[in-house]
Amino acid sequence: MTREGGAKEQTGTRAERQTYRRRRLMDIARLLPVLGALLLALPLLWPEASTHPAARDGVSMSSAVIYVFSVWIGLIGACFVFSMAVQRWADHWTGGGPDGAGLPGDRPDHGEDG
Amino acid sequence: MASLNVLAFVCLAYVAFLFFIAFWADRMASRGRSAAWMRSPLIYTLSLSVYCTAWTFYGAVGYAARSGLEFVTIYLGPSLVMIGWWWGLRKLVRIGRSQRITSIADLISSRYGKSNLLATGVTILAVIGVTPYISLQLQSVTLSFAIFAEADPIRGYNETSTVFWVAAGLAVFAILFGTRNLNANERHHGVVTAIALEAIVKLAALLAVGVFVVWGVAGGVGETLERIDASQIGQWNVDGSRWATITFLAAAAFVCLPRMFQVMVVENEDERHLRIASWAFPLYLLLISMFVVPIAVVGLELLPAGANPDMFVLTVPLQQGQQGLAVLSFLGGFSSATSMVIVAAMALSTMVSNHIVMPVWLRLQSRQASVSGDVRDVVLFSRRVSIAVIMALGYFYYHLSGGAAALAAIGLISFAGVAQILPALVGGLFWRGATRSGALAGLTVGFAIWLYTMLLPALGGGLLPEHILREGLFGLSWLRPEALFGIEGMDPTVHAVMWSMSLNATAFCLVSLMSFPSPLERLQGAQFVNVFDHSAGPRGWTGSVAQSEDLMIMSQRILGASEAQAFFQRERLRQGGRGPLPEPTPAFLERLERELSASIGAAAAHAMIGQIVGGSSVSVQDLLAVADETAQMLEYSSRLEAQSAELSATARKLRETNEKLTQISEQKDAFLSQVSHELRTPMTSIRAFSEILRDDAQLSPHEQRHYAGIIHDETLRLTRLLNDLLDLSVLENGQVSLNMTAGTLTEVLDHAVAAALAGSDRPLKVTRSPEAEAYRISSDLDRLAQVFINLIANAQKYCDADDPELTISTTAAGGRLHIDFTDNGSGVPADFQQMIFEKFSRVSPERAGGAGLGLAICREVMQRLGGDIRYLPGRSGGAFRVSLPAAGEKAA
Repeated sequence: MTREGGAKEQTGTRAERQTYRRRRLMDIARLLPVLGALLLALPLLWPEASTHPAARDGVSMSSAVIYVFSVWIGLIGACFVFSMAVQRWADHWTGGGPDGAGLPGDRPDHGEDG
Repeated sequence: MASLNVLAFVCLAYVAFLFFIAFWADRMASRGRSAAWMRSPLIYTLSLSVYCTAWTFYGAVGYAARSGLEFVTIYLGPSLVMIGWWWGLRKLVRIGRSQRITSIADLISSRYGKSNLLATGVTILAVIGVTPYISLQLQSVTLSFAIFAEADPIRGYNETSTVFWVAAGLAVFAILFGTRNLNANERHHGVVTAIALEAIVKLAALLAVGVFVVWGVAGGVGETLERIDASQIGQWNVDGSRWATITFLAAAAFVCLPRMFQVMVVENEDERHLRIASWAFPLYLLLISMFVVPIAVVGLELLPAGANPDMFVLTVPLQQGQQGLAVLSFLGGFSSATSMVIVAAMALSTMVSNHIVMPVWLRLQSRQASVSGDVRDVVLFSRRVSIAVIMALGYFYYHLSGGAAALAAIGLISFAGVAQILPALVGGLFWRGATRSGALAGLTVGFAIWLYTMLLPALGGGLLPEHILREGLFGLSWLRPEALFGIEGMDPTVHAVMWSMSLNATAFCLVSLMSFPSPLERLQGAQFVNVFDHSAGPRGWTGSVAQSEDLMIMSQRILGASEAQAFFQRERLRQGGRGPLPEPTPAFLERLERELSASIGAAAAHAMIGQIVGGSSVSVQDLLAVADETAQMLEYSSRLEAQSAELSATARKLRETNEKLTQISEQKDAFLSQVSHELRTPMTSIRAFSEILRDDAQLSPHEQRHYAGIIHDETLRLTRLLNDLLDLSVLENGQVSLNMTAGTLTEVLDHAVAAALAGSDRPLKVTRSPEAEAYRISSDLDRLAQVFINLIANAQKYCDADDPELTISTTAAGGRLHIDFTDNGSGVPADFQQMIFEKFSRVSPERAGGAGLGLAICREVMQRLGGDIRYLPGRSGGAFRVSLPAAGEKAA
């Protein structure tokens, strides 16, 4: 009996922890475009190449290309991970199951959007 | 060398193939057997690539060759929007689905209280904003033809006619594709499938050219990077303001462009596709732009200085002798242009026909009842015409602008134009305080500034006189189109975007704060902003059988079990399906909706089916329509109810009349027999005794006198009967002359009681209250006495008590005297009360001496005297009330 009760309690806290994780995950998802915009605005701080071709003190095109595309790929990867996570925790949202109005993962989202 | 003829043939074959794909996909979808991949997130993602037009395909390389890495902002903006899908696009798509939005103009208009003015404004803005974009497609296809024409010396090449034919061809193509049929939810499976195919073609073409350039020409990744650094664009040299502005602009346009809205929101099959597209579409953009810089660098290196960098994607393979690759690349560019033109034309024509043509047409037609069939024809026709007009606008823009500008510059003008919708859109989605006036003000201000600072200067060609460009409007230098408020030295694009967007947003916010929204607007605002509270999440589209079951249950409730089953059975046979229930195909749903709307009204039927199939919520407009229909039905049914109540009242009256008639007829029959009996009895005795008197001579005088006396009595009786009948008929015909005299009630009653009781063998005790009777009356006193005598005689005759007693009481009320004659007998039985005042009626014929005319005569008399006589039911004995108009004061 006590064991069962303990197990129940444990699953309860685990569910709470999962809900907490989901909310933070959604925070990350919301921050992702902001982070992306910041990272992509970073090149604006790079030293301008002078128009004179002799003075080669600017950032070379190849490194700029590599930086921009790396950030881009990083954002895509993060988004991919988030989308996988969404599929896992929000079965109602992705699996066509019964309407998941009762799922806790969806609620904070409502509150903040509304 | 690929000749122009071969190229034209390839184009036509490609278009035919696309058309076949679209046709096939539409057929599959209409039969409800569309393959799973047709509704997959992959197709959705690929259809989003309609963002990558010929501008991307050709223009990106040219852009990179001119301005370095700045080109990538065009793709970074949308990537950021897609990556932020969780709070942005998800809401937009949910609203689009739950409110059944058909275009961006429809969305804006729905949000701000179904304002058609706003929808018209957005439509006009979108048409004008997209026109440069369409001309860009014309220009790029024309340029690509020109490249091949240079290499094909056999044929003469005329640029003007080529542009015209390209425009006409694209218009025909868009009309064929976009307006083949009219779909209720504005979804086009065929077009989306074809576009997805084109997305693959253009990506494959660009990747092929890129791979060829990197590994075939430059000789590997390392070498390519070295060549990049060594080229003209080998340095990071990007204007910061342009970098930020264009990223923002591309992000805004990605959401606001009508064609993007069409594929992203309207054609969205399932909200969950967004989850895949959120990373897959940025990946697509990344792949598209990955080889842009290498191609630009190699092109700059290999081709002569004067070569148009916009065409490097074509000219580099041609220069290297790669004919096949060049044709593939040409097809990629052609795909980009056609997919953009088809979707843009489709989206714009939907907007034009829904928000401009149809309102005008319906207003013109308002007098005539319109049949749904001819409206469909009008819609299709108006869409075809608007596609042609939109293409013509693009053609004229190309002519006006001279077709010389770089592709990227034209594209940015378009982007800035449609981005003016952004404040109203974002405000509408996230701010409940946004109002219709605010949106209208913002759009107007933004559109005007964009027109003045960006579109007109770009058009040149006399549309904006040179002196205005130099000195400003009305000679005011702070109104110069490219240096508003005297701020000079800014990049024209940044300048125009900055001013138009900031003033647009300011006007939007300020006017919203100052104005007050209508109730519908506030409701819609709440529905939009809190869409996640109001609508259900996405449901599986795979559970089609479950949907059919739901539909069946619902239809049974509405149509009745047997009708619904018969209907579903018919549909199943029509589909040729083997399952127990028909598949919920669009055609089936349409017929079901029609069937249901016959029972519950069109709006309610639409809302119910939408609830089950579309997963969309019921909008306020639906509710209003349902309420309207319900009110009409209520009114109709209450009218029916009133009619039926009236009918049943009439029927009751008829039944009563019939009963009365039957009774009267029975009375008459009874009376006739009674009268004949009454007449015969005296007649018999008269005849018998007169015969005796005639024939028997030995009668004693005493006997003779006795017999003659009997004959005399019988004659008197006959005379009395005939007198009564005559009296009644005179009274009834109103020929009676009344002898009105004045007297007191006491006198009349005295006389009546004395006359009635005289010579009576049956004792009757009469109780009176002389004080109460002391009223002065003015009437025909003899007639009144006749009535009283009749009543007293009746009591005497019929009262069945052991000690019969009659109480005569008098009351005065409301200017009338009521004289009640109440006896202590058992009264008149209830079923006779109705007819005791009829002629010839007698309660108990066996006990009656008279002919049953007494009370009838009494009533006639009282009516002549301006009074009344009636039976008082519910008293302890028989009770009659005689009412008289009171003549005056109580006598002293």
